[in-house]
Amino acid sequence: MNRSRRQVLKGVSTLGAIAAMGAEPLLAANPVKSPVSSGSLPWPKPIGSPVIESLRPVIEGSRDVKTHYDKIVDAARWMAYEELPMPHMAVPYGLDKNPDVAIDFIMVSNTINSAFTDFKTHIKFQTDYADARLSDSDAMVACLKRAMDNGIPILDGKFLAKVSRPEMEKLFAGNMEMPMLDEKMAVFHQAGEVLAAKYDGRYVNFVKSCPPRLYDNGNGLVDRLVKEFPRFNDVSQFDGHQVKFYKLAQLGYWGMYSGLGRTSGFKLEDPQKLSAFADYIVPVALRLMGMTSYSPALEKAINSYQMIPRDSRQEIEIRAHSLYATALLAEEVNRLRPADQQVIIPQIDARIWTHYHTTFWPHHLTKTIMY
Amino acid sequence: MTEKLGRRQFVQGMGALGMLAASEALRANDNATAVRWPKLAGSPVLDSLHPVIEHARDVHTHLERLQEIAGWMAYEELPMPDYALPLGAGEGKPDETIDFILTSDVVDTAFTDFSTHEKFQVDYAGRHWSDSDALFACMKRALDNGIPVLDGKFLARVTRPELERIFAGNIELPMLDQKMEVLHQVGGVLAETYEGRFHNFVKSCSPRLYDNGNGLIDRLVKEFPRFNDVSEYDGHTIRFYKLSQLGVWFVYSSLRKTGQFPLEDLNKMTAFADYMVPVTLRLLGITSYSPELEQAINTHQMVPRDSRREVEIRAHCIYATALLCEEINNIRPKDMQIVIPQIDARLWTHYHTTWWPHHLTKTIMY
Repeated sequence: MNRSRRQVLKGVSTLGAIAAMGAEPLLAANPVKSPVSSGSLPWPKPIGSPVIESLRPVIEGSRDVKTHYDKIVDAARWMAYEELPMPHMAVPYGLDKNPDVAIDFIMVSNTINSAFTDFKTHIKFQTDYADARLSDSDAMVACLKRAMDNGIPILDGKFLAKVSRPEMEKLFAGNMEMPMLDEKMAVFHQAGEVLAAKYDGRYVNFVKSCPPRLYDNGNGLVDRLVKEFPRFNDVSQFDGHQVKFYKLAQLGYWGMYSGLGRTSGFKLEDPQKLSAFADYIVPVALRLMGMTSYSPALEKAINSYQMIPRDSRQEIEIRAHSLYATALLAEEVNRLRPADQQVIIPQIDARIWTHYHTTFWPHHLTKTIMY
Repeated sequence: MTEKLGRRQFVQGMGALGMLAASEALRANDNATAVRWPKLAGSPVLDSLHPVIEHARDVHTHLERLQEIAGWMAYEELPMPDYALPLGAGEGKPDETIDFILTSDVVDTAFTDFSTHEKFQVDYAGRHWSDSDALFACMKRALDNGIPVLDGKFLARVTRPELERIFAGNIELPMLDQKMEVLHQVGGVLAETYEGRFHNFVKSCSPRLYDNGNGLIDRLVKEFPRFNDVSEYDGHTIRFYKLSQLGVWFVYSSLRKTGQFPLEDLNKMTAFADYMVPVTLRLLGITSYSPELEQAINTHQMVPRDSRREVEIRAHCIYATALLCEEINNIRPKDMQIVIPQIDARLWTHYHTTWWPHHLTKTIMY
């Protein structure tokens, strides 16, 4: 999936050019109205995202991370005039020719799309496929395609439910053992069993059994994915509240939407309900641009490569502020853009992620299968 | 040159003095001579900008804001671009790549009709091309049809009907008469001195931008008046050299990986003073305009070629990007240092399709 995110910049739409030719410029001369606020805390207008709605206790009770609204307004004043294209994310290896296979492939790879750097040696997982050396999630995706080429039924839940450790080792042969291989095998077993029991072994049957909406009174694509496949239930507890992130679930559907949206292979009626994808890189970008800041203790922990434990207060605050700040930024950006050039949050996420995914500035380190 | 170097040293001395002593004297002087200057020396373009930066009325560069932005932009990737010619033109043939890029560069300006604001567009090889890309597609189409558009002997005598055919698109290529004129001029020089081909010119130059008059830029602007992109400001000659630098940069980034086009003083290249980079700098708040200039641009009034305002917009664009590059390099590790065109590319890429208005100037220089 990350491979596709990297290709964001290549998917330049012509919308901007057309608008530049004809449309009257929007000069943003009007005073900007402040957003809906509760007390002194600016809050983004509701977009129908249970993820964003769940963040409030964290944003209100944060100790180590702060969002600076004035910096967001300031950044929006220049970012609004960038193109911010809707990415055409390429489904890898031309698999989009068959949308059903593409959906299966995206979801199976998304099931294990986390942790590609060895936690001790800091070496990245790499593999060679089709005359290319690939790293990180690109390498994982290549391993799955290589398995398909070799006739291994990697998209079939019945196979995944019982895949053995030696088989996993062979599937993910590379420069070293794939990090968290046991955990990845466990999520394959778990997801594979559900697929085999209820969906004839295929993610595409699960997707087709849902309405074409992320959220729909508990029946939407995200609603049901996180309920039926615990592996995608990316939530944490904070001061007794459940905070939802749903990173891989949202990213998977975003990949399908932007990769298959034009071919009508995947329909999605509410992409505007997507939040950003709470990962390692977007928080770095926000921190560097001053839209967020960290306590000296957290700053030091990150910059000296200390582990930030999964579900710790600090980890939750980092992730919650990355979703909160990007939601506010998207809203401020939209305030300055014409009606036909409005953006949704993943376009902001892509813009930020693309520029910083190779940065040498340290990001937080957390051992988890959730992102 | 000596005089200008002396002046810069003087300016830096003043800055240091201001820091040591109480800076009241400097602050009192509104027209401060304590302009910060990029350390990079040896670019005749950058070195020529002092009079404009010191006396500009309508454009200002804000150092604090520039430093703030460097503080986050430094951590972006800022890659060295690898440019690929459209439709495989010149692939595997460095001489042809040089000819294709530099010949196209001669007419790489003004693609929007000044009255209708319509952009020049072409369909070729199953794709739609716009602006500068459309020009490149026309050149490739002509070559595919056997028209020797890279040959100076042909260009020196190309007729208007021939040009109309070569650049057939949705509208007549804007400023076609002026473009014919520069093609005649450049073609004549190429035919007479370089067997009709730019790559022979390139091989006769030292592999540097500037080299006591024998560098690529030195000689492009001297031998081909079309590239002599300079303006007068308060009696000083201000150099911009937009298309000559851009052409050499395109050739460099196309051939960089082949090692066929060494360039020993790449760090002397400045930004390419065009329409878009000033917009980016203005939106980022690195530069600001007087209310009058702001209004003129935002209401699409023409800013005449060689006017004080046009010179200030372009000079600040080159000055601010040089400083931004320096600030960013102060933050980045040694093995990740960048040159100014990498900043130019970063700023241009994000905004070249923006609907925010840019200044409008009728010229063949950019």
